[in-house]
Amino acid sequence: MSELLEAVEKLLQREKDHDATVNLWRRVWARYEQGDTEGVQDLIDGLLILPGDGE
Amino acid sequence: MKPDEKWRLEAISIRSFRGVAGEQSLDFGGRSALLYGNNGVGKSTIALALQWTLFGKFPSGVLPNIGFKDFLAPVGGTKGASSGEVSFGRAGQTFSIRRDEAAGTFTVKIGSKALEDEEAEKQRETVLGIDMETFVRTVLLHQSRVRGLMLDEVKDRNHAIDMLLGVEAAQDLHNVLKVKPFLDAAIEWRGSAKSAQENHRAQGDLLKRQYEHAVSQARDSGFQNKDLNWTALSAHYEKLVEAVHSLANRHEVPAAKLSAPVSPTEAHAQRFTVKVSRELNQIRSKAQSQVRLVQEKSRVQRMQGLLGEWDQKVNDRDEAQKLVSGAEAGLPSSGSPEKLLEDATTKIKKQEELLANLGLTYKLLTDARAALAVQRDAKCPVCGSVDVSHLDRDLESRIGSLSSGELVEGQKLLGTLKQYGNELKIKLDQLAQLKQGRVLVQNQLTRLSEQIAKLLEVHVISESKVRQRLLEGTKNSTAVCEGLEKSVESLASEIEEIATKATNLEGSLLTVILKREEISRHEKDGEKILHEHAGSEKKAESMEGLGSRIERIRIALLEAKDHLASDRLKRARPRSLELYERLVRHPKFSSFDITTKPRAKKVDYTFEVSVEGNPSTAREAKLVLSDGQITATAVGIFVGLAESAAHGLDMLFIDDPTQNLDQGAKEAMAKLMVEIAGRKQIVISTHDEEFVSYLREYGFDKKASVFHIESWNGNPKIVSGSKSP
Repeated sequence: MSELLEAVEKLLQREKDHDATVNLWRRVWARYEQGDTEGVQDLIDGLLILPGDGE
Repeated sequence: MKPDEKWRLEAISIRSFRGVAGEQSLDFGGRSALLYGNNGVGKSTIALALQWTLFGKFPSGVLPNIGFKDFLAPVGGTKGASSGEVSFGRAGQTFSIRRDEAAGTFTVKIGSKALEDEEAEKQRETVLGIDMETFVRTVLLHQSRVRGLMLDEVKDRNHAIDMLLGVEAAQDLHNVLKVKPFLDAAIEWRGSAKSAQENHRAQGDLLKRQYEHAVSQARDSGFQNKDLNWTALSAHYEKLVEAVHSLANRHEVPAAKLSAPVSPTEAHAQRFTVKVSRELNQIRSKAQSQVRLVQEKSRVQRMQGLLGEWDQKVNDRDEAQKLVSGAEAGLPSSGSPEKLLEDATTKIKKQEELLANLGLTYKLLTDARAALAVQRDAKCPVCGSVDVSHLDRDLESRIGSLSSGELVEGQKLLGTLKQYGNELKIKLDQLAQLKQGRVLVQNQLTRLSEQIAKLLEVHVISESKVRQRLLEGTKNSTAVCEGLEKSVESLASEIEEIATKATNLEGSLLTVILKREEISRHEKDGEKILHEHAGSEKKAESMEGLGSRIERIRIALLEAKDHLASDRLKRARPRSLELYERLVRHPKFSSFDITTKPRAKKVDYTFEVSVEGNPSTAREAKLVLSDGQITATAVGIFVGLAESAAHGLDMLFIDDPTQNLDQGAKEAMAKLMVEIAGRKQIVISTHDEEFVSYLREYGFDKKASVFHIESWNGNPKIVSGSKSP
């Protein structure tokens, strides 16, 4: 397992209600491992929903 | 983990990859190795193939990981056909890894156990105990990661240190994870909800104003508050239906009863108004008073026309009579003209006969005179003399009398008689024609009289009374018309009243009811908008939540980067310092230090050299060290990092460690490599002949395999590959 993945996860787990954040971080890392920052950017673009999207 | 429990590189086999167009195998047998040859002969291909076969990609920001088929394909070779096989060995065990781009497979094999894809990935990590980032940081030193330390821009040097320490992912992710778009999205969601509410409020105000206006109009049209509902409107519609039906009956227009609208909709009301309008038009055109008025007006017009025509015909007839009388007056007054003509004809005949007789006599006399002229000079054969002169004179006298008197007079008389006869005949013809014309006009007058009698509905009318009866008839009919016109006007007024009522019901009363319903719907829409607003607020909160989570990840990334970089530098520091002294051999700055420098949005570094034990001598390394000294320092840091890391590989792969190094540094580097080769497997690739000489001098080739790549012609041409016993 990547040391960075682990280190960030540990840091996030110190906070309250960290599950969603840790989950998001794992998704970010998975995308990064698959396709560098372009993959992460795709993930972020997918999460970002604006009024009028998909109507 | 003991050294013999760690894995060493046994062999690598490459096909259709970068500098290898065909197939190339290198057998390391777990020993150290030297790959040397000039630039561009395919040395780096081997390091890249090792990296790609193990992990299927390259460190972020160094080589393209998306769409890198072009990058992998050999010059002139097929895209997507690369494959690599790497085998490691330890204590009689073999662990082989194979990646095939064309088949899209990743396979590992250990003993008799073979695994594929995700399971193979897990197995690789379990067996070798290393991920890509650690591999790059502690096993494979690529020259590109050293070069960045020599760049002029601080940002680029910081990135190079990130790469050297294996923390570039943290900074890359920090850069790409942005919070602002999510906070902006939250603002937009709230803005859109607010805007929808404001629009709804404005629409509500407009509807209210429209409703009040409609109520005012309804009152102006005579409706009361009690009328402003569907029940009342429905009753009004029923009354309207009755009014239309009653009007039709009263005016003797056959019509079916209309149906009142069954619901308060604009479409129903419009249809009903159209039907009422159509029905009223029918009544207007087919009402008996209207029909009779039209007929009576026509009768008046007819009588007026006939009166004019009658007067004209009477006049024509009188004129004809005058002409006949005039012609008759021009005839001789004694006896009938026909008898006079007959007498004249007889006289002409007698005069002609008389003239004919006179002509015959004249001819006889002239013939006798001619015959006498022949005998005038002849003598009697008996007596010898004859005297006819007295006869000749008598003939002459009689002929003369006839030709100049009786005949001329007789012809003159005949001419006079003929002229008289002709004139009389012409006058008689004219008189006959005039009489015929008078008869024609009289006949027309008689027929007209019959028509008038028929129109006036009497059996017969004497000529003297026709005019008077026509005048009386016209007067009577005009009076009837006046009465009918009043009736038609009254009908028109009733029709107008009903039509206005229908229009008012639709335009005023229905509008009020519809507006009220619209307001009711609008209020329901308001509830929906409130619901949607709650949804938008939820979305806004969701976006804020994501923004907040991303911000926490960003903070954690920088903290983790700082922590990992500091920790790795700390662990590598003793060995790195030792190697700095050995490889750099700086006359003044005997020590160096790299420390992290956390900032708001990044973690930077200070890379300084100093006199050991005297921090005040610290200087920025880039300003003090030469490029060669920086390379040597970087190799020292890499070795320090490699030796302080824990994983299952007992090997290093260093690409071109002597770039920019001077002779002494190369010698020191060669000694270090030989020293390392005594403890673990080290693969060195270089084009530096001097360095190779030093390596040989210090016995590297005795501990290692040597591959001399002499040239490249699509594939590296290895002229020597020795494995020392």
